[in-house]
Amino acid sequence: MATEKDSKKQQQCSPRAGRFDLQDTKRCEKCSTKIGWVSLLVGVAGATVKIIVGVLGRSRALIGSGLCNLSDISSALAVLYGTGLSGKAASTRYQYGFGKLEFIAQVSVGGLMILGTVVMMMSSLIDIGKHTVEMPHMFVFFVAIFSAFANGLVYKYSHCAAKQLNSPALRADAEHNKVDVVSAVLVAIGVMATRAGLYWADPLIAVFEGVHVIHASVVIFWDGFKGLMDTSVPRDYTENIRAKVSRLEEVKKVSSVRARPAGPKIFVDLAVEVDPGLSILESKKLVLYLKRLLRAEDRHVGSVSVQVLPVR
Amino acid sequence: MEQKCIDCGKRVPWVIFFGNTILSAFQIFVGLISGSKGLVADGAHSGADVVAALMMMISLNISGREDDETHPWGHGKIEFASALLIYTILVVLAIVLLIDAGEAIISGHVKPPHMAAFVAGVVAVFLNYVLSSYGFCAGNQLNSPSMIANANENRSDMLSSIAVVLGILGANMGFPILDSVAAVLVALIIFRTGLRLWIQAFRNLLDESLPFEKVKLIKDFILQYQAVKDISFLKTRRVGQTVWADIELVVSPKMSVLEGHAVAREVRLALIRRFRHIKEAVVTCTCNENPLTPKIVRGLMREKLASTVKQHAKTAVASN
Repeated sequence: MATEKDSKKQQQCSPRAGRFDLQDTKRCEKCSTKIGWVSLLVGVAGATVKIIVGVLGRSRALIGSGLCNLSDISSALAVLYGTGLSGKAASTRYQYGFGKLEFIAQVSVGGLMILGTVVMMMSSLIDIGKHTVEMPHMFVFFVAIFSAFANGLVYKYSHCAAKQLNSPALRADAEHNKVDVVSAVLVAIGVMATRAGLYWADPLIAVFEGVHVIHASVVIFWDGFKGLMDTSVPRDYTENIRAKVSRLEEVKKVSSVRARPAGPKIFVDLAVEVDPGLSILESKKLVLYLKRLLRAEDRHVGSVSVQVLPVR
Repeated sequence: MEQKCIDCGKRVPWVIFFGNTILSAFQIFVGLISGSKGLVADGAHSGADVVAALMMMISLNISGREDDETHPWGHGKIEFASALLIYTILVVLAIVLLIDAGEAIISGHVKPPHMAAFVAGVVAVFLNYVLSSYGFCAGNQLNSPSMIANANENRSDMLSSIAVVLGILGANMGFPILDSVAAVLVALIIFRTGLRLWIQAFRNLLDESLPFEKVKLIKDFILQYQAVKDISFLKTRRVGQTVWADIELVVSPKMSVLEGHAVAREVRLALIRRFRHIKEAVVTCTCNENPLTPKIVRGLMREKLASTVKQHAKTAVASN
């Protein structure tokens, strides 16, 4: 019984299943926009409540957790912005489309989060060193527990959707929500410990949270940075294309396959070798066919450029 | 060039780099102790230049590497990606300084800074002048535009340092608000520079095409070839200091692939020779005639359907 349930879950969430079945793309985009909005709302509400309660209730850890939510807001905005604009057609000025906006958002947001968290951690450590820690209010505890549940729900949905849609921004958003759950639970523990007499528990939890946030930020940042560097997609992917293309009768040899991600899309550059006597009209037919073939194989394939070379 | 000059060319950037590092640390230190917001902002200004210069040195080093398996389009984009990061931080830094100084002005809680800040400000003006003159002189001798641009940067730093010195002086002469006003001014300068350079990096990362006139120039150059009837698309994008292009030429449909390739190759080599910024151009040939008769389209649809049905069967089997 359990295995059946597991496999069903895997099918729903596995990128492979999403990649090859005939899903309604529009419905998927709508769903990702919805998750973006929900994540945004939870982020805004969470950050406002946590920071206000954190300041009033004198809990540095809750403020830190609120900062973590703040970063969610930006990453949720990136999802909305990305899904809206990545779909925008390429213009004469931006001939390769707007897919990379997601990566740019990731690098900017990730970099800032790392910086902000370091500042927060340092001030917490100074507090511990100077013994200037104040007793947090009990209300902080309830806020933390409630926000852990809210973020847990958002994480569940956005994680699954990110895999289905292959959207890096959505993945980053899910990552954030996971960190938020852990951080909210830690805040609750910290408050109880501080009230029980361990004066350093609250700022120490704030520092721990900082480590969490920095880790998440580095992942987001690095993802975006690699995308901006035009790093190739994994080798399996290009090898798969190579195998598919070389199976065609007209193609004598596949000389090179390059693929780079641009937001949710993947741009493919192919170079194939054919019979030198083939006419340009015939070669155009082959090119059009190859484009259709690759797009049918994976709906994330964006623009495909095919170079037809005479076989040597 | 003489060996002496080459050695000098290598030494000058480092001298300027270390000069700016020491200057920025000195300004921030004295600014914090003496309570001069203007001096701290000015120190942050020079410090930002230093960090930017350092990151550029590192990324230029990586940018020059040849393309490898994981980076089939080369490493040039790192210049823009690192610039995006630096200038994001710089813009936020400017906002923080702006809020800090603005708050002091609005609340009116301003104290005139200690006169030590004045001395440090004068030293900063003098050092910036020396460094920029040194840079201008060496840059002109060695004919290096980047060195001259750097010297210009130091010259503008000198102007902001002068504003800060005036602010400190004014603050001690009975207008304590002037130091914060100078800080706001410097923060605005940082903000403006940061935002401008951020947008520049942003555009290059989004693969913005070359300016219209340059694209027109390239198109006209290609259309000189007799075999080329038209250009169906010409995409350009910047990768570091170089430009990469994707071009599709329209040729006669009866031409063979061998002939078409010869044309494409000639165009590619000529482009790389003629426009020195173009590092790589992927040139392909096509024709205006449509090879896909309705019958072929129907065939393609069938094949696509068959492949998806097969995939569905596979996933169904896997899930069982």
